[in-house]
Amino acid sequence: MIVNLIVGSVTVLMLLFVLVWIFFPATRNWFERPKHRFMETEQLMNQKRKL
Amino acid sequence: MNIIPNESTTDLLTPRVENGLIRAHGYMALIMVVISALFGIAVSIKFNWPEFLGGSSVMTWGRLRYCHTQGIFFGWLGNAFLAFLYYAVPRLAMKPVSGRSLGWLMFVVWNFVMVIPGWMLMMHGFSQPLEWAEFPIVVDIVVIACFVLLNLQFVVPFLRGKLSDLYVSGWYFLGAITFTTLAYPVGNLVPEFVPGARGASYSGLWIHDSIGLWVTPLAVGIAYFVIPASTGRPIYSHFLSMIGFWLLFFVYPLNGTHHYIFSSIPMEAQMGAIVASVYLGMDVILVVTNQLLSLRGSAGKVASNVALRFIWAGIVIYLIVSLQGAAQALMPVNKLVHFTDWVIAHSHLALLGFASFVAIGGLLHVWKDTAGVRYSPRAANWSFWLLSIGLFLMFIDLTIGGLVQGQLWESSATWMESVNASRIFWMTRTLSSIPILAGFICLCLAMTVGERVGAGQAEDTSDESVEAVNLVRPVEVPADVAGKFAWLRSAYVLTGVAGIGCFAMSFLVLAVWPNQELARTIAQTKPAFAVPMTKSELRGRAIYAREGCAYCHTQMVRSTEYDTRRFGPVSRAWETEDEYPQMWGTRRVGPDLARETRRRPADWQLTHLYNPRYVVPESMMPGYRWLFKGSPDAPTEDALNLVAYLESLGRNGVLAGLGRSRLESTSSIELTTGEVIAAGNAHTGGFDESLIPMDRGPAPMLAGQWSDRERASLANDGHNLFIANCSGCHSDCGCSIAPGAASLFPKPKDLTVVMLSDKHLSSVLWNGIEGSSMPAWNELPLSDLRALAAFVNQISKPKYKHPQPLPADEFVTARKLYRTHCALCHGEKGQGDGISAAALAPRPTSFYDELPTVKYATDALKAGVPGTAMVHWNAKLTEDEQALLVGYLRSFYQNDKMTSNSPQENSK
Repeated sequence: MIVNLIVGSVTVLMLLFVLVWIFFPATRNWFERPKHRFMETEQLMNQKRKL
Repeated sequence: MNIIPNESTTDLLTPRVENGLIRAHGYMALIMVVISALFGIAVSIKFNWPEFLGGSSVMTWGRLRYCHTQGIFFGWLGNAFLAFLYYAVPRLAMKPVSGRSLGWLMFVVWNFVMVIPGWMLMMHGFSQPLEWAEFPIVVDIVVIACFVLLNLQFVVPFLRGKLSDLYVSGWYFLGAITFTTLAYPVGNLVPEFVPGARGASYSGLWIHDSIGLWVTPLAVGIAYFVIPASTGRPIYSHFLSMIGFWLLFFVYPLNGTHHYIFSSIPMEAQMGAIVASVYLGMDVILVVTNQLLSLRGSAGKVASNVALRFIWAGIVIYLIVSLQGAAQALMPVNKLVHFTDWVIAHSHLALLGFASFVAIGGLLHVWKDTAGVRYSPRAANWSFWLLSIGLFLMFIDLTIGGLVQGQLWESSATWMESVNASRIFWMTRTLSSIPILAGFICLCLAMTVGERVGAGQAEDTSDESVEAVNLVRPVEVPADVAGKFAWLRSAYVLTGVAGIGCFAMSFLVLAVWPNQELARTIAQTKPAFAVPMTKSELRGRAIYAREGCAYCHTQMVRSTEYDTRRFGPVSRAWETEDEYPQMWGTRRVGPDLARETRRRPADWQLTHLYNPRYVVPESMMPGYRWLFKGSPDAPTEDALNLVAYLESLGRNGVLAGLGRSRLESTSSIELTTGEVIAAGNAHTGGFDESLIPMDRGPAPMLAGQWSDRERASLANDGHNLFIANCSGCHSDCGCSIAPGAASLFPKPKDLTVVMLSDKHLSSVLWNGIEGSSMPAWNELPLSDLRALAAFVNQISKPKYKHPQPLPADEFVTARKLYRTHCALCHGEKGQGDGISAAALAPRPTSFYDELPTVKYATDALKAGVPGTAMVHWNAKLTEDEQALLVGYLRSFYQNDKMTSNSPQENSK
């Protein structure tokens, strides 16, 4: 069944990301970086509003 | 400690935020939500009072229902999401949206060319009978144009930035806009050109994609935005959020066919959708867990910040509704709850609970930061509690109602029993709309009264760019680390391409491939003699579509035991091959109509359309009086066309012999046994309907030898049943013709002027009378039928005495007259079996089984019986001859105790 194949492929793809996360700890910062950048932007925009 | 790479926002300018467009879409969202909620409330009230706002075609149930869903989808949520996007996209992309003028153009087109004209058109009968796709094609074109503009406005800024830096909310917004742009035309336009089951495989996808690719990602993106912005802390894991995002976009498009489980769509596609639905439930657990972990330690902020509280409630509901959705897709659950109010509870939990709560949270969050508006936290707090109470009441109420309906549909209960059992739930649902409407009004107050926001920051409304201050501490990143994982920057791009590929694959797997399979099956199984719809039937079909009939009456007998027993043979794919678009429906308030042909005569259908309660006293269906010129016997051409269409439903199935225990070959192609089995499985998923007895057999004897006490008790029960089921035609006492029966031909019998033998009464109740409006009542429990028989006996028998024998000379004359004028139809022995009888419907009266009063028989001879083959004999027979005939034919009557012909007849 092709749907199962797709679901299986997606699972494998996501598992690859998880394996990268587990075995290459240095990548974790890269993965998490956008959330810090988001917080910075929010701060920036809030500062702008207050100016 | 996190290492923050040296590419920081330090050098960035804060982009322009279009506050004017935020305000415009925000205010428009408020107007739209109140109007859309009023549409929904009107629809809900009509369940209890079907004639509420009746008499006007514009305000009928089906058309308001169309307006409700499209209003919520595009009017309310669309505007709320757009307001949020104008706030969030510049922050996420660090680029302004593409253009202010483009924004205003989009605002005008979205509301004044799409939503409001869409409502007007649907209310005036121009619509599409597909769930979440009700706008007519002309508005669909506008919607597609709007989505192209959305891409220009919101996607382009993201593409001008670095995708590897993009925060998860941006990914969700990107995904929602691009994927919906692709999915909308497929779900809305293709079913207009691909008929029946084949079209359903496309429209089924859109039913789910509308929620999964537009509402859900925008709402989840808003939640991921507001949570950290309100708590001041980053989300728990961006990595998990991206895993959740990709799983959602990979798997969501595979879900749609779960709306058509047990249908004629190939079982492989159905099973695939079930697998994907369960998988999606697991993904939502991941997403919501990440979001709730992001809120850890912020209980105080959730309690004090109304916007955040709306978001928190929304994501908790998202978890519940998704797990519920996954469970609903499972066959055993689906078999029970599909088409019931359970699904309505589920959709309100998704759209009102999850999407609207998050949209409100997002709007309030934006509003607090938007200069020039007013904001009242107190009113917002009231809004939260009122909406929560209303939603909870509605969800619990409709969920229980759905379970009750499902159980009753599985049982041998009549359809009306499920309608009557639902009334309390429909009333409670209407009551739940009071706090919901009040909640939305409070939301309007929260955003229009109270203190003015940013009064001291008027310059902010100028939307000018301001140089960024140095907020980010540059962090040294080891060169080897930066270089080693540089490839990851393109990983998201690759995943994005894979996502779009997977999206395309979903259409191949769940729409294109099933289409080809169905086309092959249809070619194998469609009978060569299948009759296409006439022009009149096609016009009737258009009326059926515009009035929203498909939203209460499905046209799909599913391959389940319960459906087959109740509605007849399982619907075949080839049976809807002329249907553009398909009208399988997604809910049953009334019975399925796929096998409506030959079930009711046209006069019954017309009377029912004019005022359903005329012939079904407890019906809650609205009347369609504008299809008539003042009375049910004065139908317009539209009404006649609609009835012609109803009469055509299932006609080809009957011609093909569906429902017979032994399947007949309906193909013009010679098939091997294996191919026949394969074709059968493709239709029914291996379900063998021939094992389900569809013929209820001969009528059991319903009248019996009871004591007077038993008879009185039974007749008493029977009277109540008679009022509930029969009074529409026969009046409450069975002693006259009800006003609603004026348009029925032949007229329903006055049961006090005709006495039926026990055997005949049993047969009439069990089988109905072909060619008349008297339906078969064999769905009723035997005990009810016995009670009805006892009541009918009670109102007729006391008035009768056994006919007196005629004197010998009169008997000879009468017999001669009878044989000359009556025997051709009524038979030599008065049993209604003359040589012409077989061609007549209703069949001529059997005087062996029916004893009319002298007056009724005389009147029938004088005036004939309209709607039957009985003509008037006033011109051909003298009064004396008529009197002789009346005496003669009354002498035939024998109740069931007698096995021979009339004593007088026997003696001759």
